[in-house]
Amino acid sequence: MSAPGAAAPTALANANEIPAHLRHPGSAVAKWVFVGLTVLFLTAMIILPAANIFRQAFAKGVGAYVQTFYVPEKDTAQMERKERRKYNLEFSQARKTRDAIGLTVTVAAVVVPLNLVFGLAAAWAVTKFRFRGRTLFVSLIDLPFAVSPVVAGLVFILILGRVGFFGDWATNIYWPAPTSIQWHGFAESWNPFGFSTWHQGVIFTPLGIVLASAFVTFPFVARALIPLMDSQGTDQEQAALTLGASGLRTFFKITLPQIKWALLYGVILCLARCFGEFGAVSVVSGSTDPNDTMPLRIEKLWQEYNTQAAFSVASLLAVVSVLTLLLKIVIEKRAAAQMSEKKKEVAEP
Amino acid sequence: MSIEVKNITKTFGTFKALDNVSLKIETGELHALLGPSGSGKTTLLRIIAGLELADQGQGEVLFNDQIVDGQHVSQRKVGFVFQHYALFRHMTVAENIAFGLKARPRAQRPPRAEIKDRVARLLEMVQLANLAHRMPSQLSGGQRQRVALARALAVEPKVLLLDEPFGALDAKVRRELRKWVRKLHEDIGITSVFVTHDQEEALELADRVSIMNQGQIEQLGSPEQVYENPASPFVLKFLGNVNLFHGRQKSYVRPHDVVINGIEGAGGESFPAEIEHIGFGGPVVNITLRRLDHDSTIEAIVPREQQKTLGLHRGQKVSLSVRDPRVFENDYEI
Repeated sequence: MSAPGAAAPTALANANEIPAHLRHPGSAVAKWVFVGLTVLFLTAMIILPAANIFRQAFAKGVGAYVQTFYVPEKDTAQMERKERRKYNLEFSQARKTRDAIGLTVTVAAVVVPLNLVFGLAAAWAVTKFRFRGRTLFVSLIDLPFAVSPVVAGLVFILILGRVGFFGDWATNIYWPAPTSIQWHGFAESWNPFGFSTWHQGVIFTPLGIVLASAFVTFPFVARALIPLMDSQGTDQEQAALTLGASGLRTFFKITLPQIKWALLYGVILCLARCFGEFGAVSVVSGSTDPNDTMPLRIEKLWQEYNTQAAFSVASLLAVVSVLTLLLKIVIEKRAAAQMSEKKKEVAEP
Repeated sequence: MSIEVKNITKTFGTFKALDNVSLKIETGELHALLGPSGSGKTTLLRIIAGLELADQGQGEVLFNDQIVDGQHVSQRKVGFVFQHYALFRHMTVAENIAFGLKARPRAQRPPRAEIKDRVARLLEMVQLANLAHRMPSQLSGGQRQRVALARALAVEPKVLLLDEPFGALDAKVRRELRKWVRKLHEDIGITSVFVTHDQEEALELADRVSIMNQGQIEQLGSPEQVYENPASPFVLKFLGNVNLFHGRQKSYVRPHDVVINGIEGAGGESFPAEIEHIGFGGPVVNITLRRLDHDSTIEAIVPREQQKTLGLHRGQKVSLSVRDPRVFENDYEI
């Protein structure tokens, strides 16, 4: 990390330091009991399981770990029948795992921007306007937190499935796989693009997974923004308007700079949850291999007694979690550093 | 530029904030909207600015006799100073002031150097040149107020609207800033309207005062007019302390118009009273008296000199007479 980031903790530490005469004397025994209990809990519930993920993932060595994700192509003609079957299985398993990672990233790439926009819109609506039913609206934002993800998935099946609540209309939707886009040129039609792969329906397709993930991760961005935007009120936006700024300019120059860290924080939580969501996605994916996201893939490998492979994929999710945590710390430090930099600027005029 | 509002009504739910209000403010005037909280004065100011819209089909707002109801707040070219300043907290003082100029469409935007120049001049004017690079959080209340003023003036508005401009400041800063704003107004001569609940502030600062009550303007006039000739008991009571005398007729008397003779039974209508308390008030003393012929207390203000010569002291029995009592027709209050 750069120098300004490193400077922040000391500045913060100084600011938060409690003068000696104000410090609660407390009891040393109580202090160590509480610290001890916390450490014990963290060790048993988080550190040991996390370490175990990596121990299991690398149980058969680095080679086996890599093979979970990638098996090089070989000429199978020379192999014995038994050897060939084993190789083919390993090859297809690795490909499925890679596809699962690809699908997870794709879904996140769609869901996170969607929820960034929806979350921002919801937070905006709730904090900058007063309208009838606002309290209900706020509760609705939290609904995905309150509902079991499995139930959420089932609701999607009930609405969009073959025996859906409103009939089977959703199963007649055809939509192209975005990754299968092809260039046809203008010879055949005015539209030079075409798609080689089309999906039918919503449930049991990646579109269903996107919907389920979007539902489950919706509150994160809105929740991160609402308290902050609530406390800021609308005075500054109104001031910008009286100064002749347009609505867009007001948003980008006044609102956004003041909420950007909270926004990023919400996006990171949203992303982490999107990668890790199991229940809702499990219901709408239909358990077909092409619809596996990473958590679903982990479960399948585990069911097939392929413990090492299951933990290898899990190790990726664990890394994502750790990265999320680090990113969160960096973001918080950056915000603090920005503040203290500006203070320094002024201190020496 | 003159400002005129005609027959404005504004309701919030079932609450009538403004009830058919009309008002004309002349070019170059410094006008005060004075009233207790909930009287609709801030709502009126916000409707003039375009931050709030009057009820559908109810009245109109005119700048220089041109209807501006259709204009968005960003088009009206008003300078608005918010009660809590609403400074952009992520921008320095200089950036705050420059915001309005930078926000102009490209064709009307002054070149960078000119913006810098103008910001420097405004900072000079509000005496904050050395604080240009501070963040708003590092300023005192009075300094923030002046930044807000400079920011509003930077876009060269045609009218300046101030919402409780001194409300959040302590008494000393408030008095200084008041004088400074009066001088500023005389220097630049911009039509200005400010909202306040402080009668002293309104009377000292404004050319003309509108006294508002329950969504209506009770009286409009110069400070002298409204103070000397209040149109209603409300105006009289709002513009300073007043005693209610139940004599042969119901009359209102300001504390400094209560005469303590010290001699029982002096000429005119007089009332026996007993001094309950004498409070020190600098050059004057505030005397609380209890009437002996009626269950009520009277506040009187007399110069310190007079207190000494009359030898007024607590528990003393005196007789009161009044100068300049006010009587209103149809006054059924109390």
